[in-house]
Amino acid sequence: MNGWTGRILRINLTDQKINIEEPGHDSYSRFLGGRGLGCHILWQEVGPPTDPLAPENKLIFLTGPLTGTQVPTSGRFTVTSKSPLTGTVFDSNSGGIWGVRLKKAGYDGLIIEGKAAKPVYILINEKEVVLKDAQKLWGLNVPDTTGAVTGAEGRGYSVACIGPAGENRVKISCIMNDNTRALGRGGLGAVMGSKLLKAIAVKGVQKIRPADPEKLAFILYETNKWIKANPITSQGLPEFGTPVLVNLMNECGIFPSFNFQESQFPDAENISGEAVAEKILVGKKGCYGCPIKCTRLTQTKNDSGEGPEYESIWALGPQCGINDLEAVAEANYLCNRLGLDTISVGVTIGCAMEMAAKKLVDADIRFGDAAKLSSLIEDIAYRRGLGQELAEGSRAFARKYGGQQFAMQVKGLELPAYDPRGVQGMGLGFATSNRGGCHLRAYMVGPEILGVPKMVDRFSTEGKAGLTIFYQNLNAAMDSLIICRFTGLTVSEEYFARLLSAVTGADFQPQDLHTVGERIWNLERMYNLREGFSSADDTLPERLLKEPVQHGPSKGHVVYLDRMLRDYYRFRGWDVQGVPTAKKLSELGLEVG
Amino acid sequence: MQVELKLFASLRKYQSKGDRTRIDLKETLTVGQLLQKKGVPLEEAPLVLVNGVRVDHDYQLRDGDAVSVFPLIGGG
Repeated sequence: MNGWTGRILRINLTDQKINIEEPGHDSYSRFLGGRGLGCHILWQEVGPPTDPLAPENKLIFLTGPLTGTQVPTSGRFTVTSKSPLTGTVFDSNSGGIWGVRLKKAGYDGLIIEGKAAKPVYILINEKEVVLKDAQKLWGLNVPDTTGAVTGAEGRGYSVACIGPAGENRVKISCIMNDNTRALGRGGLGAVMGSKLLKAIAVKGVQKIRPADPEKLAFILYETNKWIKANPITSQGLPEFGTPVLVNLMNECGIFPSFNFQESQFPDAENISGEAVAEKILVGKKGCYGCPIKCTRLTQTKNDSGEGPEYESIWALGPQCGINDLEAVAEANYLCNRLGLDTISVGVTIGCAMEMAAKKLVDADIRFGDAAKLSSLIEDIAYRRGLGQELAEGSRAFARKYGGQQFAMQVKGLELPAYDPRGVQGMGLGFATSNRGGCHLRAYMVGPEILGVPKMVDRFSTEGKAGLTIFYQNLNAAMDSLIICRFTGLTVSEEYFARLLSAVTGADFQPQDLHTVGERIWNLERMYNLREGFSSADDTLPERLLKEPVQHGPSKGHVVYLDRMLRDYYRFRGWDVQGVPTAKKLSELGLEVG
Repeated sequence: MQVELKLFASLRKYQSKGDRTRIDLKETLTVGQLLQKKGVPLEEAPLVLVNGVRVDHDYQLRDGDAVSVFPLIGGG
């Protein structure tokens, strides 16, 4: 079986037992890898009574069948767990090279369970898997941890680790890999911290052999031509990175600011991709096997690092009323070092700013106060002062002070940089996302704003349920292969089915990817239902449903969720309560009883 | 008749710093004609917004229109 190593490491931190398991052909062909296989394992092993920060929760690191092959932008891996922020099944994926090294060491993934007696890190190479003392690393930030591990273990190791935020079980903390890449969302850093696991270092150089190298080379030739021919991947992203979107979203009136009180930001041009290129850009970088190279290497007067990405610029900027690009970039560097999710940090701080302005919270914070941003971020990571409460995320923070309508979140996950009142399908996507307020499950901005693959009316609710389902399913498969979302903007699923066939030797048609994606989506849904979630959770913050946009091109609109949601359940083959029918589950081969 | 024209991302090269904002038009033009006058190849400028609303290249400009033009971009 090519494409997969067929082997997964199970590491129990409580009794330090390490085993190699073989999931078998059926699991791979039904769930592929990454997000799909992760959900499959979590469904079987982590049930409802489990506290996400208890030893019984698991952290499942997985590559996909295309990881580490020559397929462009396939150098990715996922981590799946039960999220301490949302309580849902949660997967996050990241690039860099860590996942490639894991696969080249001979493993498709790792299941981490239990809790160590004292801080440890895991060392993995082709010959051994060792648990090592990490007491001296505990307390270090991400670059210092990475440096210390690679310094001690030698060249060729790639490190995934947590910073102080994860150690302190901050619920908006992330796992970082290769220093600056993030498994950003859902508080997965806190799960790793709760297990006293500081880092995982991997090294491997085994060749990953495709089943049909000649066929693969032929399809790759065409795939790379598409990537080169499309201005999204050959011009926009290489030249300006993800912040290229700032001006477009702002001009469309879907660029939220001041905690979604407005849908445009007057100083958007100051913090745009064009401004990044002009003012702070010093270099560019790509993940393993990526021809696009969207990563920005930047430098401010006082600091330097990677990013900020579009989402981070927005969250740490306009969402908090801040227009100072250097302050935003420095706040972003700081989040990366401490191991914090930039989106959730910015949205939670913006929520607190609005609640302070409305006198619900007695705190000396206000919109636009760039000077306070860094100290607030540190306070969150170290759970100091107000940071102790912000560390729980916007939903818990707002609820505590009786202002839950000001928490811009879905199922506990903070919303990203799009105001869905001007992009109706995105609103449906946020509300139905199985991991909460996420833009990547169904990136409806593609058809509704960018015109990819075709432009649809962004204010209309017509046809949005079907299109949202189409992308949710397809993206679930892409997150299991694992392919970067940006390649998906330029290369159709027909190519990925052909690439997967050439790599694995099995026959995959485009429709098979949709079926696998639909299976994953329904299993994630069943997981959340088992945890007690219901159709009542498929909603949006009150502001987006009841307060029409006041100014700009989206003026007068709210999200017309009800009419889309009814269609959505029906088209999914779910009942009116949003529960998958027995017929649908059986059709997908999900024996979940 | 006056319109505002803003070019973004890789289209900035077709606009010099001075003439960034308001343009006086003596004749009625479509967006496409205005872009051609400015030397912007239409195939590089598929995303056109007038006052924040998506329009085609054959949209007839009106007095006071704010025109924002983008190449095909993506990200997130």
